[in-house]
Amino acid sequence: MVDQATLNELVKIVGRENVLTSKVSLNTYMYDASLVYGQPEVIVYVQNAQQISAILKLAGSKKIPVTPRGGGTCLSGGAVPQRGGIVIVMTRMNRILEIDPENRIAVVEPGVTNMELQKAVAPYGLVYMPDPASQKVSTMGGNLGENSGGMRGIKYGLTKDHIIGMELVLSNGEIVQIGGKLEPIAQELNLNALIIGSEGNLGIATKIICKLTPAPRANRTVLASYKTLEDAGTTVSAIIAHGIIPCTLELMDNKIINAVEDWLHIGLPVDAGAILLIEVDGWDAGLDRQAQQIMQICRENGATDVKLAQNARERDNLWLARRSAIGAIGRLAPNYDMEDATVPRTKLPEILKEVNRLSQEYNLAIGMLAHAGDGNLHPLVLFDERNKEQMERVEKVRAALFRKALDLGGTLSGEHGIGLAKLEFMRWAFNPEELQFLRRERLAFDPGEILNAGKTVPDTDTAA
Amino acid sequence: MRQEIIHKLEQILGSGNCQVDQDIRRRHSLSKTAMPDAVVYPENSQQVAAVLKLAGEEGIPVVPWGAGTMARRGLLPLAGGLIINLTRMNKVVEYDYENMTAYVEAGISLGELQKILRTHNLYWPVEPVEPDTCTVGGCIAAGASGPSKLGYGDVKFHILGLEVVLPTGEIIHTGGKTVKNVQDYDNTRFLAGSWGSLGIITRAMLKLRPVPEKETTVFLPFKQLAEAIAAARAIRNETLPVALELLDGAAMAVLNRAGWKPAAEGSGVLVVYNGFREQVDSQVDYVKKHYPAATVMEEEAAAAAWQARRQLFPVFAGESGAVMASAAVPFTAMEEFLTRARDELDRSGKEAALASHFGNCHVHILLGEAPEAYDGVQETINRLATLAGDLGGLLVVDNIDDLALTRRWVEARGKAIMELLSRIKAAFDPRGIMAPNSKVLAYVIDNSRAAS
Ligand SMILES: Cc1cc2nc3c(=O)[nH]c(=O)nc-3n(C[C@H](O)[C@H](O)[C@H](O)COP(=O)(O)OP(=O)(O)OC[C@H]3O[C@@H](n4cnc5c(N)ncnc54)[C@H](O)[C@@H]3O)c2cc1C
Repeated sequence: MVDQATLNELVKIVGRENVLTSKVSLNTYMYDASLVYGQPEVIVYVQNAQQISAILKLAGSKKIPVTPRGGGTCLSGGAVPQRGGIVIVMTRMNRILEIDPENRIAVVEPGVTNMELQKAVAPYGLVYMPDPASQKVSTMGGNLGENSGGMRGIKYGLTKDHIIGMELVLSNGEIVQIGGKLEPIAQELNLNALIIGSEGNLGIATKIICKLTPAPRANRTVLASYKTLEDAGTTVSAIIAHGIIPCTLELMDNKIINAVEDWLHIGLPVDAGAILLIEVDGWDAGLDRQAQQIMQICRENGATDVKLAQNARERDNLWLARRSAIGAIGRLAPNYDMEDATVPRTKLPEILKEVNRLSQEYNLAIGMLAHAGDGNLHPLVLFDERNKEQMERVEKVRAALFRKALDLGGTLSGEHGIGLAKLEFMRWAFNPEELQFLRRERLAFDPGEILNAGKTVPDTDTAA
Repeated sequence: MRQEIIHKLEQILGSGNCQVDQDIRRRHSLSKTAMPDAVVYPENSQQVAAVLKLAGEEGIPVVPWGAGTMARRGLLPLAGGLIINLTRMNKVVEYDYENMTAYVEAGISLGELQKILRTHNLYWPVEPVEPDTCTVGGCIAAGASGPSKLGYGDVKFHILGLEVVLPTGEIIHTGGKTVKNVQDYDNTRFLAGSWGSLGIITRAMLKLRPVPEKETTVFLPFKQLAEAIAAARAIRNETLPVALELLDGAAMAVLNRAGWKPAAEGSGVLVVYNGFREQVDSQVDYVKKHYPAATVMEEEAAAAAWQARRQLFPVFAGESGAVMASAAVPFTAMEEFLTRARDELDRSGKEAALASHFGNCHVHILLGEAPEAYDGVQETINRLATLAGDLGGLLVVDNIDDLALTRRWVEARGKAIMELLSRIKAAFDPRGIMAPNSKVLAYVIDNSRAAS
């Protein structure tokens, strides 16, 4: 419990103006972008690693739960303080410390948003490749915590492919340097691997070393329309089978198309059952042939209409449509639940069919978005939280979807994490020994179990 | 080792799969004096688990072993204990060419694997020094890579999941079959490069790539090292090579001895482009335009050059052996490091060659002195280590048993690091039986190792 003495200590560490305990503040930090919530006892804004170190030492000595929080856009409850305690808000650690263009490296504080980094490196002709749809508000620390993906994942990978080092505060308050700017040649374990995607369980990153990539010189963007989702799904595998790895391969179903078109009026094909947004990029030479091949493959797999974006404006519109999809769907119902079950690419048609079936069986509207090239679904289940009976159906659909994804050789989460929201399903994905092992691993980093504890890995007793 | 234990092992594995023969043990040892007590050849993961349970109960050290081609780099000599040779676990469990994955047993050789993958025009982009014999499990455990790590990254970028037998005898699965997967902590990548210190990889889900439509190697000869460095720098900055190797004059002379004889003398740069035909052609055109002396090679001609490149160390080392060190420095410091390192080596009077994965900022330094006579080159190595350090980099020696440079590097990560590493080790291996001679953790579990 956070008592007055603890509050006094916190004030000493970060200053009075950075410790919030008002009811309004505590309510504001109950949530992230998932459906779970829990009230913290105190909110602390931090400015540097030393402050975090001192807070963790304090919390450790008093067994107070600590939840690190970036932009709070997590979709699995990672930033929700379900056990109360202290929320450490990272957003004021928002300096870009270094951009080193020829070495293609940037060093940032964790509160820098993904977009701020993108904008800062663009003038050098460089890109930080991971680009989650939440990039305007999600922070680099949160991206690291969740191993976030984005639209370019299929060709350029995920956060873990682009963060090569960090400064990390361990749960006991000790500060260590992980990885670094150099090619890893020493005989040592690669701790980056464990920490990226560890959902704030294994330490709090206070500096992040990112790999930058030269901006692709050119691109071609194709929009293909289909009667059915399955046809679009089949096309995805066919493209890859031809040895083409697009940088983007996004799928939207009819509900999403219409929601976006109603909002933006950019001329999307509102009668289509599904569309694919496909982009190839890289060296200019050869891109035209790739685009032609892709268009051919789309037609062979049932596309009713295939268009190549003719200019930057047409391309920007297509991208705007994709980036606005979640916001557009949000206008259709008081709440939505966005999952990210992921299946091997060839299983896309099957799981798309299943989602359709579930939508009918449980009488729930489900819009379908997908990072299709990665087999990464984003079904958006629409509902009204106040309707208890409907909520029960939502829960049933979620469970059925996860079951199906696992049965098809897939995973509970492609990029949003387990957090609290998917904890109960971990027992479907892992056996008791595996869960016990993951717990041992967690405890190696956080023996006192204060750091975002109770998330990601279920407790052993409930697991057995 | 007690006869009783041998019996138990034979019960688990069948008598032919538990060997105590001198010759076999010697072939699985890393020094003339320190040999394992027995070598076992499990045929499935359950047998591996049973062996590890027994070893745990008896407190016997166990060391996984593939083809042994890289063992010297990651393992110290160890007297006693069990070698678990995985080469009899060599099946392809599932080749899902449509999803571009292959689930294979750890002991399959890379040569065999690539042959199977080619039937559907796919490959696994990992090219260690001995690309035919080495095993997939060994490549993963050793964090292997080849020249194409510039374009595609080392082995950890090409695995999606693992089956691992923990030293407790538990069989666990990490990751899965999809590229995106954040269910568990990423133990798949964590085990890549763990050199046997944490558990035994018994199966791996490999992420495959389509064989590119076209692949071309370009060779650029230069009289002066400085010219080669400038060219390599420009090529990395202006084009997108998949591989970019720089070889100094001494290294080029070794490639000559290895059977590849480009006409010119001096330093050389080897560049690879692959992908779509038009793209490769335009990249190659760019290089030819700026470096008219460039030779363009495809198919056999290119293969011969790379085969010689892989032979660099063995040919340089010959019968008497050689010390190999690795340096990593920032890209912008490559020019200074290579130039000054070459000067330093010339002054030392030793036979020495420099070969660099230039695009990755990784320099191999080959020194004509047997690893056993490391003392003779230690002063040179120390000077080069200081040079690398001053330029913001580091240097380690790959094939000796002295881990002092590595330990110093790791300790500088923070005073809590050793304790953290010990706790991680204990989470995997509570009884401490797993490869106590793995260099990756040897300096953590036993301080004295650092100064041996
Ligand atoms: C509209 C919308 C679109 C989205 N699109 C995508 C998408 O395309 N791809 C994708 O992958 N995700 C997406 N997300 C999910 C989410 O944006 C990402 O998970 C994002 O990385 C979270 O960043 P954040 O700063 O909001 O972190 P938070 O939500 O604040 O925290 C996320 C996790 O990281 C931990 N954490 C925060 N800071 C640190 C730190 N410094 N060190 C260690 N741990 C830390 C937290 O404890 C928590 O567990 C989307 C979310 C929304 C709402």
